Amino acid sequence: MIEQLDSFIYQLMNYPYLQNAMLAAVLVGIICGLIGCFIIMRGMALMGDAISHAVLPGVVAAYMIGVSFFIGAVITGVITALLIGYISQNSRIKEDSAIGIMFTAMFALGVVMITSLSGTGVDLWHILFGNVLAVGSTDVSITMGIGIIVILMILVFYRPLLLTTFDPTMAKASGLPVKLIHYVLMLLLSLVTVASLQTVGIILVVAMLITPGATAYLLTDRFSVMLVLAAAFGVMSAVIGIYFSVLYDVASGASIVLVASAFFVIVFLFGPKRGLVIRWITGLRRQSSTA
Amino acid sequence: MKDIGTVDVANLSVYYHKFSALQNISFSTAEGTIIGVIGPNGAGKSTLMKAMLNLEKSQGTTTFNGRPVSEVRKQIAYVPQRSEIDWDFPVRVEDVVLMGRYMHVPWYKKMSKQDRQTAYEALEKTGMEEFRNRQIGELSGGQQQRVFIARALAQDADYFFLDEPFVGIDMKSEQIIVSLLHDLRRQNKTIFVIHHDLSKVESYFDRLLLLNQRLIAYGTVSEVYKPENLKAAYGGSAAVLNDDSVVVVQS
Repeated sequence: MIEQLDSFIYQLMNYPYLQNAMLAAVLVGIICGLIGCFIIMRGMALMGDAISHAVLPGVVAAYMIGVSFFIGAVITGVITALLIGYISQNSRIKEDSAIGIMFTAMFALGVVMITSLSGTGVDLWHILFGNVLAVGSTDVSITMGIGIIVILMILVFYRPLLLTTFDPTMAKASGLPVKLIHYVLMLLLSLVTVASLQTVGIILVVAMLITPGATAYLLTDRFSVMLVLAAAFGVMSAVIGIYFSVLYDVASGASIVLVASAFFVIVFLFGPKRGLVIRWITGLRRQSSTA
Repeated sequence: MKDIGTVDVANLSVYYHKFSALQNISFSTAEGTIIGVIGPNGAGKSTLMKAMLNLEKSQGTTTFNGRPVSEVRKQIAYVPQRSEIDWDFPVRVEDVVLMGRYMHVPWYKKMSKQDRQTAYEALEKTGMEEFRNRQIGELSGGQQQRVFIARALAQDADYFFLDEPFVGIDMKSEQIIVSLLHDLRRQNKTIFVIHHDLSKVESYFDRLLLLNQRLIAYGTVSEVYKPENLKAAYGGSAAVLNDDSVVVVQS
């Protein structure tokens, strides 16, 4: 074990590609964890899944015309969010159904576009499942840029974000632009998804959004603490996940997600306040004291 | 004393698709009044509040001391129905009450000591200061309601909108809230309270607004609280026992 860790640290010190991978994964862990807290508390996990899948045609289109795929992804992400809102507000279709229609349509469009491009450099497998070891230094700087935007937005607009999440009616009554904040959050979600593309891939982004935040949610009663814990679980999952991925030569994205899931299971079972085991023990105690 | 609390509602209507939820509601209030909004289930009581605050698509106008709602938003405190709140949300009592100060602090500034002090005083008034570090789901229904009343007090608003504040709460909390509302009345605030039954309307409210999609009656409690009005609002579910007592059987 120590030997393997030693060898991993040696590789990390000496191979720039691994440094880039690690840095990108850590950043992705932080921003997914942060945005994920808002997605969870707004009951929008499905929306997170939708936006992450819907960026696919944007990524492919950007590749076709030769611009940065960040731009393409953000445009399709936001368009999808707007269309979901439009459909659910202008018909009897409920939001979850509108999400189901839109994201599968966008995803299918992306797959058709990719398969029609066969023979070019777009690798469907890498977009879907990520390939963090192929992250270049430009990608790291873009991810860093997105990370700074996301963290700044959350710091500066913490109060409006919290109030519109907790009590949207009161937020609207007191004059906050609730709809605008929703779409800004969707924009941030698209940015985060794109930043995560290479690390965990489109399919598994939703795990990085939801799982660290959900783990944090089980541990605290304060939203600010939940944000910090979610980012911490995201980072730990990224680091440990990449370690296992290098050690056993398995897909990095899936490895990261499995570590995040393991953290969730541990906290779900052994959490100090709401863990299954603690609740079971206090339940037993209560029974024996009444008996 | 400046004239802060007048509210004028003119021809307010709300339609859901083609079904009409509220028809042509018009009334005016003077400052320093507590208005009880009563009516059967589905009468549009919450819809009326939301339409007045422009949270719901509506026709007609509502003005606050002559100004549209968009100009007085900071002065409007809203307490939602308890069922609208996610009680598992990771916020503590203190955090919720501080939200009452959010609209007074520009987005680029931190909350000041004064804001925290105002929030703490609101907690004291509702008798909730010892619970300030509790997560909101760990409180009883009455305590939860008092936290939201404290948030409204911390906001230092001129207009208060309370959606069914007395549902499922204990007697002690109800008395604390009623006496706080009476304090607000003395400060010339205007307070709208949606009330789910007809008990205690005389001691709680100055005016009653009896609603069933249209305005059945509006005026002082003694003007409105009459068998013929209640029968008109509640239909067959109102049973008049004798001259001055009415029992409403909600289906």
